[in-house]
Amino acid sequence: MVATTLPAGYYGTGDPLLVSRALTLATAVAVFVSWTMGGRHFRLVAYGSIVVMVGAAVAMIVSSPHPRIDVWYSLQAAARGISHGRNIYTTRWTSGAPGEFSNGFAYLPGSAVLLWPFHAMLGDVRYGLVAALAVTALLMVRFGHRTFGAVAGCLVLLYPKALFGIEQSWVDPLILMSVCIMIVAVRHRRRGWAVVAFAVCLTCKQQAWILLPLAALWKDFGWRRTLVSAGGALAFIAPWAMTDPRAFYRGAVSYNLFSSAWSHFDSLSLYAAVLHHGSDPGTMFTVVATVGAILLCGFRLAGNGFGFCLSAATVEAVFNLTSKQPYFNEWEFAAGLALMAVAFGEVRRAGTADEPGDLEAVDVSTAGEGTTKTVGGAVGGD
Amino acid sequence: MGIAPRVGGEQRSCRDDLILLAAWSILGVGGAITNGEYSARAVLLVTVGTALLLSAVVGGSKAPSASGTGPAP
Repeated sequence: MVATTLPAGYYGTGDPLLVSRALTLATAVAVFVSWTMGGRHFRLVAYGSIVVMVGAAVAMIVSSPHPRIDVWYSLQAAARGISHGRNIYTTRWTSGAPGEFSNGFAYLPGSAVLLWPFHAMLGDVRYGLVAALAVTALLMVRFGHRTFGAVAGCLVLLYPKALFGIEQSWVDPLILMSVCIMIVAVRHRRRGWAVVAFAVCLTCKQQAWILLPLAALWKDFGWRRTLVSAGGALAFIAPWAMTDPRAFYRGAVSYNLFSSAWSHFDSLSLYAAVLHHGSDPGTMFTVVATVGAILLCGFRLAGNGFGFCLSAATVEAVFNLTSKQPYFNEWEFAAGLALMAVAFGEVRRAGTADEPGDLEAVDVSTAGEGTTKTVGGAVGGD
Repeated sequence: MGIAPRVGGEQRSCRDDLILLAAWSILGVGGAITNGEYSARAVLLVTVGTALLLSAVVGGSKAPSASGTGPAP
């Protein structure tokens, strides 16, 4: 029900915004009622909720055609640049909003390439983000655990201000979708597709590269496939980096790494909280905390699919909490990874002979649709 | 008691409960912000969410959730 709190549209106006909010409210009520009643057809409700929330997201985009945020202007400009064969890192644009980034491109090129068809066909990159969230939710409902995969799938689209993230055109749904495809592909032993999906993830946003050691620790993915994905991603990025290295460095590297922490005074992190008290913790604070989280997850979690999902969520969350510029979207990504851990991870069948100690071994990569394995042998089929 | 009702004959572990609660806590940040900007309440929510994830990593209980039908530990 909390999803009905300011469900959409910070900048939106008019009837489409009302439609968007009404659809979100109806979906939230339907999901909540069906879930609490433990309905046997909850999966159908989940599929329906995804369809309706796509409608809500489209209505929200219509209600807010020109959000005043640099991200939307940069993605639109990049898509136009691709349409005209120009370098996205040298495009010139401005949001007109004081203090915001202007000109160039601050993400990795994969995000612009993935969103380009939606700009070319529908005129707005945000339709691509809606599609990415819908695909993620559908994969979780279809291939996750029968009920908790459905619950998690609903929560990908339905939470407080979920559509705010779409309105602002943050690209995190793209990396969440590619990680989800990677997990489903490994689960179905389509490891080639998993390598491609992870490579796509790495071409979209810098933050995804934190997942590299965690993917290497996942036994069914492994360090060789991780290296292939990373190599493929670098090969994809290279033409943009080599065409104008200074522009690429300025947009994709220095803006994120070396911009003043004080310019991100409004970010959502402990780092920002310390800034608000007058001191700057420094980059080492972020590095030490993130490396510590990676090591902790490496030591504590099994190298299986569930371990990867939970590690990814935890490491991204720790990174966000201790870095200078996480916003709502980075937290959406961390929470989405946590939902994947629930959707593809540790649920067991009721009524089976549960034994303490069997949970560590539940593995999404070997469980597959319809079966759930553990080393302890206590978990039955689905 | 589990965070969510048991449905469809599946049973969550305590660790699932922790992770779901963490996701809810983090996603709840949307209710604590205006246009994505800093607020102490939002930072508190994401801090709690991160702590819950860390506790799921460090001390994820191996016992089933009491919301399920399995035997108590």
